[in-house]
Amino acid sequence: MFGKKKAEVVVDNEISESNENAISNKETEGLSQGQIVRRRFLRHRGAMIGLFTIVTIILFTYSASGLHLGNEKNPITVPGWWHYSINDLPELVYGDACPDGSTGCPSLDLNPFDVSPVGTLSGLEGNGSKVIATLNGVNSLKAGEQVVISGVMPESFNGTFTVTEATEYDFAFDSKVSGTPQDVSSATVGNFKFGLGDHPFGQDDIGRDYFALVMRGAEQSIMVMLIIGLLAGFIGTVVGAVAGYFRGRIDGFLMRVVDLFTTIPVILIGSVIGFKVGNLGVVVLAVFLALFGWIGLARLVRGEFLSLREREFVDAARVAGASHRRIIFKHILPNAVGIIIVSVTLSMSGAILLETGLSYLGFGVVSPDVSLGSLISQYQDSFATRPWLFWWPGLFIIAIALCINFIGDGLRDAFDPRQRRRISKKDRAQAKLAAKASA
Amino acid sequence: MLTYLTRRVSQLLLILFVSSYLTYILLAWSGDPLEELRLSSDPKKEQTMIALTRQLDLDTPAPLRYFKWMAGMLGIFWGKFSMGDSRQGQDVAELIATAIPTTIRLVLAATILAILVGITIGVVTALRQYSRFDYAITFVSFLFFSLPIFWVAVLLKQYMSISFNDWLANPIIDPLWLVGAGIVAGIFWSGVIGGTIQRVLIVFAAGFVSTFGVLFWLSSTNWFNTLSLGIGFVIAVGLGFAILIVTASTGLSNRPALYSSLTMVAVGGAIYFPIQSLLVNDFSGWTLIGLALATVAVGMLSGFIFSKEDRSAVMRTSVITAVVVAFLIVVDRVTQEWIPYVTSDFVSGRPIPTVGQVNDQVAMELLDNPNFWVGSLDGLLHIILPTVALTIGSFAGYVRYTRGNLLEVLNMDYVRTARAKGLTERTVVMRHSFRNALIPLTTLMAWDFAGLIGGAIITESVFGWIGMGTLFRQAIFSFDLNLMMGAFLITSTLAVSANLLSDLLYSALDPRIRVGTGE
Repeated sequence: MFGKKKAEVVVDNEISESNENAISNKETEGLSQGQIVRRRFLRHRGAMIGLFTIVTIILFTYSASGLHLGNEKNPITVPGWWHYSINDLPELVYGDACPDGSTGCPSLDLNPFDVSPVGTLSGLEGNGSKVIATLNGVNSLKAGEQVVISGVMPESFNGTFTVTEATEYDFAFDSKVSGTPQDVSSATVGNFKFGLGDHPFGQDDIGRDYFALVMRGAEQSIMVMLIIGLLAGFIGTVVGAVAGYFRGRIDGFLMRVVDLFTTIPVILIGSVIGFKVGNLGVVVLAVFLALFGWIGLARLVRGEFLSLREREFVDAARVAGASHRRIIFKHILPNAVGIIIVSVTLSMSGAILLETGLSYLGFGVVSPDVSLGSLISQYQDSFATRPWLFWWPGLFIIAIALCINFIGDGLRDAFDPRQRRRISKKDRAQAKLAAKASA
Repeated sequence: MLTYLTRRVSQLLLILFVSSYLTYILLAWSGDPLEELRLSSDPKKEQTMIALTRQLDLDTPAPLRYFKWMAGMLGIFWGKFSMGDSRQGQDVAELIATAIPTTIRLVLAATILAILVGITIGVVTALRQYSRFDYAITFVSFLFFSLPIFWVAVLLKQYMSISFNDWLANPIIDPLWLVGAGIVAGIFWSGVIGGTIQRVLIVFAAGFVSTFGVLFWLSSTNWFNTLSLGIGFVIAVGLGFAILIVTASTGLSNRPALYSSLTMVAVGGAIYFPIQSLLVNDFSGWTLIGLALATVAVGMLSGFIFSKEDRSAVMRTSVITAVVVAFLIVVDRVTQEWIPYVTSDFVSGRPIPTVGQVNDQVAMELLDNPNFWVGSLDGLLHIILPTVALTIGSFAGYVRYTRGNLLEVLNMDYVRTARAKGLTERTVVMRHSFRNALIPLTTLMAWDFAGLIGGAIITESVFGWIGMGTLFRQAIFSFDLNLMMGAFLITSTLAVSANLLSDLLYSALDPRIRVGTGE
């Protein structure tokens, strides 16, 4: 662990440090602070992947289930692209459709070679360009569908074909091989399972489509996350800015309020509030939770304002006759915006865990509405028999929280003035080349 | 110092008083204790409602009722302490007194484990900054940070408890798993140690072979059924730890430290059999404290005898080794109860439970003939899952924080000076940087502890423990104001005290921070 190479490392550092400074200085030459931050953020691979994923998840979930605003009495709804809503009660799938004997199994299949049998074939006739067959199965086929034929003599008729015509019992396809197919009792036809299917995530106990439920839950959680992040961020910034800028009695008062809130464990007060207002919808819950979630940010912003207000540029602005409001918003706030954004982002991942945790306990979103937490709480005991009911909501929580954390990390790196990009060998080589060229 | 402490504590009491007042009103607003009765069709409901109103003193408005409740609390000064009665008429103080130890036990175990593991990994990632290992740990810690504990708990119950218990019926490790574990261990150790490609490959091979070999040997000798450790284990693992501790603290070139630590292992081996007669079934806490003190004394003595210069470092090293060896002996003593415990009717071969804090039947049995070791084993097996789940949640914070702090300290001028003086890298990292990087961690520890105490409401509900969280949850559902307030007050007092303690610790560790001087 403690290598013996330290002597050479030290020497190496001494030599390369000035080079590295030169390389990173070159990169930021002539750029504004905003541009530097943006460039650093865009270069942070984790943050970019996180940003892309979270935007995809948000677009996917919100477009799937549509928008649901308002309360139970006056709902405002915009329909989504998914054909089930959380209130639909399709028939529970069981039996042949679920191979392991479970009920409401998921139809999502990502293996492009999986074939599910549709039925057996009989009465094959025709030639290679048009084969007509009778289908003995429950499901009928549609023209244009891909089917897999097997067990037909000769062998050349087995494979994947496109259905050209289909009636209720008969269908035709163009096999493009010469010869006449024989009627064989073992002939079967199947189609590809690849794709979402009717219930990609399965169905819950009473048959509700689980995909719709998970989408709805994810939508709720994202909404809570955004509201808590923005509202708590706003309150925290205002309180911290006022306390840090005006100092004195107003600072003393606000900080005592902050101390007061610090003694109240958020998750406990959240449980009580959730129990009281959980049935009023997720927006009300989020607003109430945000009222208790701004403490950390207020402290942080206050500290930043306390140090920034002593700087020369603030004095200059004051001497030039700028109002308090102008100094706060135009001079100090832009300099403190980095820590605010980072802190708000990271608090969002805490917010989604808080909301799902409360819903898990039964103190957040309550039935008939769903949340990712309440879904897990409801189906955790089904893990051994119907694991998908447990996996999907959990994966959505983790994906959202993980993306937010990575974005927060990228933002922190981007806003941190001490943060320097790791100088790679390629950069060194380029710098060397550039130096040579200029010499 | 004393004035500072008095000021802080009185401020704290005042804040707790105000916050509890606000909380009381908020809680009173949040529900109606008679709601259930109002909706019921019980013919006697009028009487019940009147009785309950009298019992809970509902005729007094909440802002005033608080002061009656507070008067009961202040009764502590004249010996009539009371936190009120619950709806069922139980004494809230008594309910809480039985619940607190459970929660503390749950939280403390996880905090300690997370601190140990998190700081170690954090130091390694800081030393291997920008390596693949660093990136992998960063990803893992972000992942752990994003895991909801109730979700992890279900997975742990399935794989660490149910599947593990199933596997224990025939504990043979699948060859595929052996290879997999070997590869993971190889990658881990080569990431930790790093260096040239040749060294990485050697370390990988060594890690693979040793892990594969040990697991294969354990599996083929059916060790998982017996879990027998014995004197061989104590000496072998003790030796390993002794060398590790000396390497990390003074370096193997410091012969006195090495010999002193090895002596500790030898002493451990020598007293292994005699000490067993002391570790009897009705082992008491006093014996434990006595033995712990003796261990420390022996360690210090040995260090004192061996060392000529740099006495404190040698003594410290041998005390740490002595404590580790003593711990190994205790672990060995606990596992001696494994076979009778697992094969007993109450456990019937499924040692790791999914829920609960003790095995009720074992606890009943222990009432009749007390056995400290069986009790410990039972408690340990029950605390495994919650501890792992909580540790996963806290681990990330410690790793990231330690890494960041250590990197910051390593860039300081005095570290450069230390290097320039020609100190070894170990001294620079462990003595000059690591210790200073640990100071800001006290704040994180307090926050983490407070978070876990509050988060106990979820943890306890998932793992079926009956502590403060469960009490609070039941109180919300039945709208039991006194019980809620009791749990609330104790939880926030614990959290606030942890904060105060961390502030004091901070100022004790960092001479730049002076308390009692105002700013």
